[in-house]
Amino acid sequence: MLRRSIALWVVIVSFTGIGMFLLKHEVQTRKSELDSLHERIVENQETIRVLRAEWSHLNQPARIEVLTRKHLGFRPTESHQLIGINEFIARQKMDSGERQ
Amino acid sequence: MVAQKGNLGNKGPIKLEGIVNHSIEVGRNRLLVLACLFSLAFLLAAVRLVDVSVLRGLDEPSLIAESAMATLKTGRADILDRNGILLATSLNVPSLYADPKEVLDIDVAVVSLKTVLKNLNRSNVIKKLQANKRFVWIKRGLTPEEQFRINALGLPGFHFQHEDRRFYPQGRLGAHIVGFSGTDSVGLVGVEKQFDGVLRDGSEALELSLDIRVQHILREEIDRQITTFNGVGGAGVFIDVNSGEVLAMVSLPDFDPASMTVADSEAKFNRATLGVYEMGSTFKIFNTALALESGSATMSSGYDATKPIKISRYTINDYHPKRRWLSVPEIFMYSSNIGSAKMADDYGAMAQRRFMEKLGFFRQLAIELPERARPMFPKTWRRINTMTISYGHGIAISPLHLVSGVATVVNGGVRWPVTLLKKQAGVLSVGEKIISKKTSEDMRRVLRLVVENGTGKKASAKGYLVGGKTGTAEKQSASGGYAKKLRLSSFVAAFPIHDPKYAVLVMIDEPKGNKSSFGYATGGWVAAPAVKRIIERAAPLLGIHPKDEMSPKIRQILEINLPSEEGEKRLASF
Repeated sequence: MLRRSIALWVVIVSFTGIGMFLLKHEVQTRKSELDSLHERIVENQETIRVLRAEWSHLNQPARIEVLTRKHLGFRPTESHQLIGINEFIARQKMDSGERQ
Repeated sequence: MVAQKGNLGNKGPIKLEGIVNHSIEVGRNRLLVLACLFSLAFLLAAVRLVDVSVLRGLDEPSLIAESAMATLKTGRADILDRNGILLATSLNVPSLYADPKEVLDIDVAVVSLKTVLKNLNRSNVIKKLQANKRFVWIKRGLTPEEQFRINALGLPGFHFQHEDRRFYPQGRLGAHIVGFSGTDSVGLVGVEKQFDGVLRDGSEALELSLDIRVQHILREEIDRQITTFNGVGGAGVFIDVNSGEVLAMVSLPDFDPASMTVADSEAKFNRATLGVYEMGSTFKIFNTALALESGSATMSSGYDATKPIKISRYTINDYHPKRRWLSVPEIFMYSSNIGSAKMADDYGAMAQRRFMEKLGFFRQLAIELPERARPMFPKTWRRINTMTISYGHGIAISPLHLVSGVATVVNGGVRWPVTLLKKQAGVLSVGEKIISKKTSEDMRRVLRLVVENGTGKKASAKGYLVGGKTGTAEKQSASGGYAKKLRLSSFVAAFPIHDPKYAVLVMIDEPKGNKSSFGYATGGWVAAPAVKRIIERAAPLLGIHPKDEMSPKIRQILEINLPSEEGEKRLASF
């Protein structure tokens, strides 16, 4: 009886030991994975900051203005180019009225 | 043992056996109780273990929240405009240094470095590398590409060190407001200095009220007028009249924060907040508002502007003399100094002083900048002061003061503290009621009159209902007294004037008249056209819809009764 229970305990202890070791190993692997992920996140955040600064620099209104003038031929909107939705509807009605 | 047993057996073993048995029984019982207690304790521990490790495990989050480790630590927080455009940011920048002891072949190293860093001074670097040191800087602040290429060269003895550096991606735009921070990330000028503490320990970006698009428009148009009229400088302000938020503020000449050390003091000076000027006729806005508010004049009362006023050794005269009786709106429209001085004389020095004080013209503004001007005003307020202040001479305030005052006059009479921080939704701010709604509405009418018929016609941006006032002040020369040729030409406007949303000021310092302006260098010729273009360009961006200026509804709001040209008929009613 005693001998059996000792054997049982030995088995249990060795299984827990091995289990413990495997678990610890797993945790360590995950931890180093996490650390490298953290490092990459920080690296990416830094890259994003650089890109944001560059984006803002390239979007300077003075630069955009020169580019649009050169490549698109745009100029500032004038007030007569804008009409309100009510006015638009009124004009459409007038147009359709004329056609009839 | 055996002998003893024999002895015991002789004396009556049953009794003895009974005692032994009893003792053993007691021992066993005690042992059993103890064993029970122990196993109970172990059982409890086991149950608890299962409970903690297996059952409780369900409640625990399967992922541990991690924050501090994965966030980037930067030296200073970012500064953004109201739309989230980056105005200032800190970047981790690599710098190249060398350990001369580790460098194998100096000539080869310099030649290969030159392939990447074209501007490297050859002899200088060779001298550095020959020095008996373990650390010499080769180049500070590399671009990521340069770093990559130098790294690819694989030169021994060359290393990188990362440093925080402040960048201003928008360059000159808003330079006076954003300011800049020096080495060691200490804010030295502008918002960078004002919010140094917040920027240093906060990772949350600081949101300004500026709109970089409007800032660009304002800067470009003022710059154009300075060039056209050969001025020495200029200033401009664009604010939201109903909240006091500054959308744009310009001072020219300006500087590039990237090369701050070479900028001269003239360029660093913020004319919009730190400069104080006698603003001239734009002050008639406050004069008229006070006269109407105090009841000393009404929209239909009038004053005799036939002759110049002579008081002590001064003479008050008009630029555009009409030599007749003028009604209050006409005095404003033709910018009559004589009429204004008489209006001021009617309400008196005390009322004027109190009004200027309420408008904040005696104090530094509460703007979030270290560069704030202290206005200059007379210590003793004599009759002559009252009269000259009515048309903006004898008191010097900053351009931002002026715009803040105009915003108060047109927005219904509430003074909002001017601010450079974006108003967050749901945060209430406290305004101070200065003039009545009625007076404010009358002021909108006369401001519109100036643009429709008076000195400010060139500011009329069609559809946006501009109302405003010209100002042409003579600058005081160094020797004292006024210099006729040195002028400060300005135009201050609000739009759309029937329901004002924004106020704009353009001020050009010492413009000279040219052919295009027929020799004039007044506010109406120099500053008003800039205001027109600024409003035309900025209004669509800000969602202001152009209106039909002749629609009956708007005409009714802005209606004004002017006396007929032959003043005599009206005389009786004055």
